Amino acid sequence: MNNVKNLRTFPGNRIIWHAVIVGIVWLLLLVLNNNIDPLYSSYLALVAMYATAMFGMTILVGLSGQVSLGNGALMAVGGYVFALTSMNWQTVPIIGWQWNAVWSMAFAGLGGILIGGIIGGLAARLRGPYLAGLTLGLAVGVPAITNRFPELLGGENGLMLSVPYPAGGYAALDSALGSSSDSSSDGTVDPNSAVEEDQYAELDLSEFEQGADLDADLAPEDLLTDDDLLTEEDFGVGDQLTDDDLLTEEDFGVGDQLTDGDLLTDEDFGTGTDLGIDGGDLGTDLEADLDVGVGTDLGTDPAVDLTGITDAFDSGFIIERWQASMAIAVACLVAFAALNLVRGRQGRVWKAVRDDPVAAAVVGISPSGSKISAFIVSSLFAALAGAVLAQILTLVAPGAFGLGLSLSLLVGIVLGGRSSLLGAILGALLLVWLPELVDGLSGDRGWPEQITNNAPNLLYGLLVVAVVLAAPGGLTGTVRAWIDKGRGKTRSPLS
Amino acid sequence: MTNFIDYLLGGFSNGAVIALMALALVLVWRSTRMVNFAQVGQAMFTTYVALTIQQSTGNWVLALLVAIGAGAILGVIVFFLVIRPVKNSDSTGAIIATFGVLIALQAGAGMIWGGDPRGFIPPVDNAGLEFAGRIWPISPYDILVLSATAALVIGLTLLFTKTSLGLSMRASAFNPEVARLSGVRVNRMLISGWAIAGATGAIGGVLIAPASTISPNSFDILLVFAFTAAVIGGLDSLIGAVTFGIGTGLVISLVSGYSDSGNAPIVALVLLALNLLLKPDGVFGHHGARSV
Amino acid sequence: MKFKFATGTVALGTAAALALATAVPAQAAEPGVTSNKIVIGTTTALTGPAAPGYKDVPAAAQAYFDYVNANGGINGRKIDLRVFDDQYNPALAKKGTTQLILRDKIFAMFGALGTPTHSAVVQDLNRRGIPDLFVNTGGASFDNPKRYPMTFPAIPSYVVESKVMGYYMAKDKALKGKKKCLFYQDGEFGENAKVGFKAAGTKFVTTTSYFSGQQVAPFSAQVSKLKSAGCELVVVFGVTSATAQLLGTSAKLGFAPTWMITSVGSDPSVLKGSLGAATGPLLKGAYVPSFLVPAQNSKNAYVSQMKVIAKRAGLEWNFYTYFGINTAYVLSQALKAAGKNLTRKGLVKALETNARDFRSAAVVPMVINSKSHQGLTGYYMGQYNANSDVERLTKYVMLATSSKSGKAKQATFRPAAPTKKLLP
Repeated sequence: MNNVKNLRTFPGNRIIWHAVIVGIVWLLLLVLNNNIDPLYSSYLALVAMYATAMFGMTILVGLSGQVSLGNGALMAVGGYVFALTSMNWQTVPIIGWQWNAVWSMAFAGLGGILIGGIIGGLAARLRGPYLAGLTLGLAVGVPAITNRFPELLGGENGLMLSVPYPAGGYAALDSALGSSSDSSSDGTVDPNSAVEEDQYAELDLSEFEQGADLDADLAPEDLLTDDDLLTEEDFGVGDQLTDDDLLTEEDFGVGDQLTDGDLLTDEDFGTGTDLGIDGGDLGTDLEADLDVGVGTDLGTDPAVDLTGITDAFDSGFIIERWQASMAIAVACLVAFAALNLVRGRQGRVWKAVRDDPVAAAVVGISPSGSKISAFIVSSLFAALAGAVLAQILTLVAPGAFGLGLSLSLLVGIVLGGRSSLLGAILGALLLVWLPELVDGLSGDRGWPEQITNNAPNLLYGLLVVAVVLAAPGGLTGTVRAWIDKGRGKTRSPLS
Repeated sequence: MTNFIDYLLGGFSNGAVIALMALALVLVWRSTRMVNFAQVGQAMFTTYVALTIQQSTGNWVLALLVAIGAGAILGVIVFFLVIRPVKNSDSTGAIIATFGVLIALQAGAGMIWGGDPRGFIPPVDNAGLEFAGRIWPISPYDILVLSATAALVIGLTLLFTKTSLGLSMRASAFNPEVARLSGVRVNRMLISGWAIAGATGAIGGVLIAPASTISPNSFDILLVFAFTAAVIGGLDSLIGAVTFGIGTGLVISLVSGYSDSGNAPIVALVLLALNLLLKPDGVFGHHGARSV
Repeated sequence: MKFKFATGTVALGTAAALALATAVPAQAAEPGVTSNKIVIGTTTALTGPAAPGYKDVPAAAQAYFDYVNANGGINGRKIDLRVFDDQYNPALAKKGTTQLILRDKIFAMFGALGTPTHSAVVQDLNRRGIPDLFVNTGGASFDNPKRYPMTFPAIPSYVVESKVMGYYMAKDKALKGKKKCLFYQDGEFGENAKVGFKAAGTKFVTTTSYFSGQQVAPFSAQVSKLKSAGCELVVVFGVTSATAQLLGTSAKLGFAPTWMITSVGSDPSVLKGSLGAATGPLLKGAYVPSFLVPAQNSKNAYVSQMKVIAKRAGLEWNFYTYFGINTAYVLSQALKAAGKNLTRKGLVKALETNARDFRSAAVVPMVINSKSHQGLTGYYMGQYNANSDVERLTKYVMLATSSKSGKAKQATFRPAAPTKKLLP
């Protein structure tokens, strides 16, 4: 312990100290990730992703005192830059190196810095609710932009990324399916190409066009008349069907009365012998027609051979673990940067401006510069988190980066405690854990549908209120207030 | 040209709806210097109450009165249970708490009334008026909504400028310590502020509903536009909220008419950003407003 | 100074908590299948803006499975449906699907809702070889057996629907010469519709749109635009709440064209909830494509029996409960056809070879083979009467694919009778 204390007294060694701390945590998380059920790895990935974004919230909301309702939109910027660069660029511009996901992450971060600078410049002039208003506008307006550029940004459905494999690259999925036509030369697959190209070969529907008068009906000048319209009776059951063959209310709870098996025949059903081909014949005839039409034996078509999928899946690659380790890596790197910023000079600058901008200006700190830098850092972190989320979802779509995400980040940071990075981690855990908790509490108890459906949301809303009430300043703030109280100090939970 | 007039008239009646919700946000701001994100949730909930009354009695005026009462009570409940315990120690926490209330209210409404959209029969004819040989997109009901909005903003302005209650409320919000020393019962003033805001939101909800449908989430988008309007207007300004509420309605209407409706949120964002760039405290705002 | 340590401690504590929570249950030969149970999962919007209507679908499917389970299940196995509320958010859909796969160990996905939501999980489901049956969306991208061999859409695509609308507008004497206009939802929905209309060669005098959420206020600008353009036939591609607002605003402005409304935006029971008594007159004469026997046709053996199931479960009879029961009925037949020795591959093969023999209330053929998972291939055109019931149906159906250029074709098809007591 003494050595540790000595280490910490040297400010020059602070960075090394932080590196050691983060390194140990990183290692522990990786060990954890490799030893838990993949389900918990998937939660771990989400926690790490949220934590990455919320380290930025700690700096922006906690240290710099700027309330943002729009960091989800900044995540969207990172996610879309990640998706667009990894889908469209095979080599690094200018340098010409082989492209990979790390480059996309770097560009996502760059996008975050740029947009953070622009928004931060605007935001630095604003106070409190006006900033909230601007960022709320961002949270709604930025996802709406994707619909303006459907060709580039995929519109409402977004852009799909292929599932990455550690070995064999992005092509593994398709080769497992026995298809190579979608693979580009570098082994990447653009899943969106499926939507771009006209993959829908016209089906051979000729079998349905049997019937004497249909050719006439299809002639362009021939128009529909009332005679061509069915009436309700054409769908009716008809007299031939006996009541015993129909399900009635009496059938419930008396399953033993049912005799097995025998189906109604088509002769028993309907009145419309004039309606063209008979339903019963249809089934068998069509099967024959189809075989001729498609020209392959359905049973042995290589495209239906599903062995490849399961083989690929069984090869030991667990995607949840991969996603979690990727998310943890980003979170740890961001945590390292955040620790150094928060514990260093810049952290004191942000706090000074938050607490007293006038005094800060007197000692030579630019209040707006400080606010802009906080926005840039938080935007960078948000963009990196967005790139991580894009990889977890293998998708970027406006619905995933909506107002709900922005508000979640603020809820998380307020509940966890906004003045320390630990609060961000706690908040990230809460964001993932609380929905599980309320689902567990409000599981199906045989209540009516509309109660059961809404119970988790009701509990979630009440829990958010309860945590704010019980722990003003968030969990970390409250715990620290208790500790200080125990030591006889008094300070606001927010300081 | 008739198109342009149509878009303007349509925008006016839509804007009145945004203006009413923006008014409620401004009232809470005036009372407690915070933004109440549960406002649309409270309005939604009381509108359901009004719908229930109207469907059982067929009396629209009674339904409106009950909604106003329920809105005031709900506002006071939210203030007492959530805002007052948190507000002084943690204003950002108070905002988050209002989100919690919003989620809970939406879920509660879903539990009680189900999630499917429900209609609300207007008390007066909602058919567009016929004039100069054509039907214009403004109905007697729209005129009722616009008049109610105008009456509310005038009434509230008078309340805040001419009555001792209103002046005390403003004093309590601006500087509770000084107000208390001057003999104002600050707590009572805060409660009044939340009650009046809740009632205003309730009136807004009941007036919106016949022109729309009501469902637990149906007012969500209103929150965004109303907040935008209130912020551009200056948050402290009743007239600003109404002016820019109607202005937002006009922008949406014109953008939807002349280009794609999907451009409307983006145009609103750009206008908001430009506005805040030029007027960081809103158009009608005072520089003295304190931060959250 | 303290919290640097605390960071590590809490992470460790979390690690321990998560590790303790870990449990690896014994793997069955095929996940989700035991001698007496089949576990299936669905993700859908039970709450939030997208929930109206769709929240009824899983409840209706559950009602049908309850009925089947009470009657011995399928090949002796009872169906256990797990539902996750994704609120139409892709991130939640991903989380829910991961839970269903890894925690609930589902055998197959069933009836997942929405294109953006399902886009986040479709690759993963296929990679794992999990059957992904009857995805509830008209977005065409999931009909791609080469890329998604396990995935099967539940409804004809929006492109198919707009092609059918375009074909019918060109054929019907009463509609052929009318000035046609398009009103659509900004985004995927409307874009898909435009692809189909382009293929069908439909020319619109003007088009206008709304953005999702805008229906909270009247569509005055949009209706004014349609009205001043002199539209006589307006095609509506929007959700039901938008249809309600459009009809209401049009009535207000004295605009009464002939309407043609997409099947997913025209549920009369939801419209009645919004428009009240005005629904009948406003909806009368509106054209609506449909792929199921009309829901109010109680004389039909499918409708009458499915209504009984809905009623016994205490569900309101509307398009969504009808659709939910019908889809569950088809799934049950597929599970039965896959045989006693139920495997995931077996289920897919059963669909690809036997789908045409499956009974359902659909009045269009179900085309599923190794080349196409399109499923239901078209629509008939109906019209609403004054009671908001669909009548005056076309005697033939119109079939189409999701291709960019192919047109709709006329065909005859009549559904086979349901199985006895509607059991698989």
